[in-house]
Amino acid sequence: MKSKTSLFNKTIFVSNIKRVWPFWGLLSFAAIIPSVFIAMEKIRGYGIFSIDPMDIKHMYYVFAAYGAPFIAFGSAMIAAMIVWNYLYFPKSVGFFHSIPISKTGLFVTQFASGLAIMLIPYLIGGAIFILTLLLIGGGFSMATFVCIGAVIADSFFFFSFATLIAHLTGHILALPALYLAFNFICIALENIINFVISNFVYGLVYDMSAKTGFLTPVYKLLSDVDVYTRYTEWNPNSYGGIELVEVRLDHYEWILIYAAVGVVFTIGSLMLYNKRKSEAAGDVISTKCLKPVILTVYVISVTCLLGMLLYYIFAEGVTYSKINVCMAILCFGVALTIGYYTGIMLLEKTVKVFKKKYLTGLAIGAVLTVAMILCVKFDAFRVERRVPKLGQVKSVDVLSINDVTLVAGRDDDLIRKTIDMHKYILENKDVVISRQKNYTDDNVYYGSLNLIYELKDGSKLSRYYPIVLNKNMDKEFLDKYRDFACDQDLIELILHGNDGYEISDLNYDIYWLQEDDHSYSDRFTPEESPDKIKKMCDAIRADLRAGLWTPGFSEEESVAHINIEYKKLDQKTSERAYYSYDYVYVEVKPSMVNTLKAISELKGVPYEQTEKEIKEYLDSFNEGNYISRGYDEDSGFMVEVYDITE
Amino acid sequence: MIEIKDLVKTFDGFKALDGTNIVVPKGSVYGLVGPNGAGKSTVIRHILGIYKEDSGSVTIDGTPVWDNQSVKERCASIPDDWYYFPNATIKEMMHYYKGIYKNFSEERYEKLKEAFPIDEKKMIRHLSKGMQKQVAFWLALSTMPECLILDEPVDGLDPVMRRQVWSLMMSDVSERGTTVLVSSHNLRELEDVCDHVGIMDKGKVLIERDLNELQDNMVKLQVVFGADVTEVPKDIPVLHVSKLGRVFTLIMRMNAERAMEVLKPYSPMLVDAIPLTLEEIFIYELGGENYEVKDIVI
Repeated sequence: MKSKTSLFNKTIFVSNIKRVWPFWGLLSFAAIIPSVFIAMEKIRGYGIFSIDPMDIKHMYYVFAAYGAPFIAFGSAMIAAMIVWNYLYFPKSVGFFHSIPISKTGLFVTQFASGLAIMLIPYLIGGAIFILTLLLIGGGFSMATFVCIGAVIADSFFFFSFATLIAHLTGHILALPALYLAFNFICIALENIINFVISNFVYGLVYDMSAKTGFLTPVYKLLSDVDVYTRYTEWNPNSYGGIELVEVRLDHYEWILIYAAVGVVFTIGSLMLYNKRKSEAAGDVISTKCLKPVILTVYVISVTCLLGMLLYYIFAEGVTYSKINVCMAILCFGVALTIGYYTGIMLLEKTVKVFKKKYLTGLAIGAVLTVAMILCVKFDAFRVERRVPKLGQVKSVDVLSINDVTLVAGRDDDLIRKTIDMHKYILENKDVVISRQKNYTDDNVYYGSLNLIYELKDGSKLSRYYPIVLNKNMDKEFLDKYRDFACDQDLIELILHGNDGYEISDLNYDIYWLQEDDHSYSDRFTPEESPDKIKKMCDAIRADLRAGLWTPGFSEEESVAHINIEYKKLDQKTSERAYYSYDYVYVEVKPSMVNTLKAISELKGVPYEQTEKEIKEYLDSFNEGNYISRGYDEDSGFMVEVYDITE
Repeated sequence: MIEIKDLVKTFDGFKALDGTNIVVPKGSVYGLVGPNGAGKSTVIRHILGIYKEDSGSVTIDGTPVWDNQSVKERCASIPDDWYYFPNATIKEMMHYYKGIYKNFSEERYEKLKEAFPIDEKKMIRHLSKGMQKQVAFWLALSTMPECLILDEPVDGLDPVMRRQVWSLMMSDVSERGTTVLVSSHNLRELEDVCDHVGIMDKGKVLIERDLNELQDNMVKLQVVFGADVTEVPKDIPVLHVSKLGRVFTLIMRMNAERAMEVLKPYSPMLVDAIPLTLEEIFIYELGGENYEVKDIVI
């Protein structure tokens, strides 16, 4: 087996494959199991496995979309550790770099070995699977080749990524750590920074985001590449009752994009390999210029997370969006110091890092941390104070607590009203925040406003404000908020089923009726009980018009709740209709007589009986004369005080 | 054949090689000696193409070694810590070498079985250190190298096997003109096999010479002066002096004839020239570099 070319050595290749046969052997065994299962099912005559061409196509696409990237993500890391681990030990790197093969040839041979280790189980398992399908009457289709292509492309991409990581480090344990870190660092850092900022900037709320999702390949592939299916209506004659009539793989271009990126990674790895020094074996990061980058990312992550934890423990709390500058500097400063020195310890593999030469980096980090804290405190980037202008806004959505839509639309009046409310909240920020801290008065009103602006430039601006108001102290704010938050017109449209709104489900819980320790509940769908849905909606509309129901909040105790789920057509194409879904949540109060009458009729009981049951329910709830409700500082709970003396 | 010119290599600010110059003539046995940390192993790794020089050049037959497949095909090495695959048998390693080295001779491999009586089906990791070294030799010699680079080659071998190994190497040198570079602390053995010597210290080669020339360039004299001479006259250039009774032992950096002439004016009663061993040359040459045996009394 003497090599005739200098770009590939068959001996080294075969030796690499042979030496790790337990790894790919085990994976191959696992890959064969589905075929064995199908064959056994067929032999036993159960026929659970469908050989319908569409179902087989579906199965291939599901594997291509969800199985292949997931498996490739994990096996690439192991394959890279197997073929590149010789770079991490002086003895082995000395051997491989002294044998008569060019560096490029050695790289190509090792790369091919790693890819082969990943693909052998697919080859064995896939071949047996296709053979099994053919034997039981299934066939070939384009989907088979699409699946094979996806498997190869995903394997190539993830292995090239793992190879690139392998050439950035000189330590075997650093490879999997860096591989996992680099795979998720962008999305993780995005969320860490969002989390920290959202705790200090009034109006920002932490929401799991993925703007940098495309830099997290496994996330992007699993979330974007999906399988579209279309079924027929119920058919008792077909397998399973419904028939799959169309299936395709959507957004597969991402597989191709990442495969192309894999080519770039491979070339980059080869360049790193040719420049690599053998004496880097054992170093955590073998490419010196990357050390500051990795250290910086690590320090930012630790400073944010640990700093937040310390601030939460020692400061007065982070949920009120007012940063205590001194405490923040102290907590984040400590976190920065810990992050900085532990980072250097990990990179240099020594605990003796408290030297003068590292002080400059710490000083720079400290200055930047203090600068960021002061920027947040004084809103230097005008994030907190940002309110869009009328001409910039395309549409608004305003959601309350529990994501219920309060107002939504595109007309200028609504947008102007929203902007006014937004400014008003910012002007009275201190009032609202001070109320949040102190629930000492009774009849406190609380809600929230999530303002979502869709801007004309295509971007979105979102702000979330918990609103806590006291009816005696904040009357002006309260009236303004109540006037804004209740979009009666919108609710009318929804309940009446106009303007594209369709009720899809209505369910309710009656608190005054208990069955087996649960509130009595019922549910109606438009297919089964359209008249009952109409009855209930008409009753709620009547209470709304009469002012007996105010969406969002009320002083009275609830005696039931009704959840009305609806959908609205957003877009329709020749193939699909796209709906948005939301719900109206109705807290039923004793004053909502129309709604209670409707409930009585649906239950088949007289309204007088319902009134009596409600009174008994409310009386049993109050053990005595209600006096007040407030926050007890000693216990940390909200308490209600009743006079139970006769 | 092997030429190193002005080789400089730095590791994290530490200059391991500082303008090293070595010439190993074709077909010679070159002994590279030096104290611990002199840079011998670093030089060897450059010759094998493991390290890339920061500056300078490393060539074999005028061709740079770095990333040069054709040069490496003609070289074999036995490092002080030889690498093998963890679960490989001798036979499996042989097949591996056979697939990599173009000139690997299976016939030679079979012939060398007599010299290295180890069961080739055994796993290398189950062998003793000395036996592993033997396997390293076995495989290295089977690649029919033109150039053999050895770092502490006989470390761990029993005396019989040492002799066996040196004998095999010498026969390669004489029959095939193999060039050998060997680094070792065992100067007594090197003296028997080397024809060229380079003495290294602190990243530089201090002396590089034909061994005979080296030995000719330094002499050890046992001298008895007249009764009136109690100390060695100061104008006699000596590297080292020791005295036992009236007998002075002088180490002088010159040949024997020249040394006699220098001593003549002092009319010594007895002068006897004794050849220096390589070990003594090593010690006394480096003595001028502040490297000397210190009499430490514990």
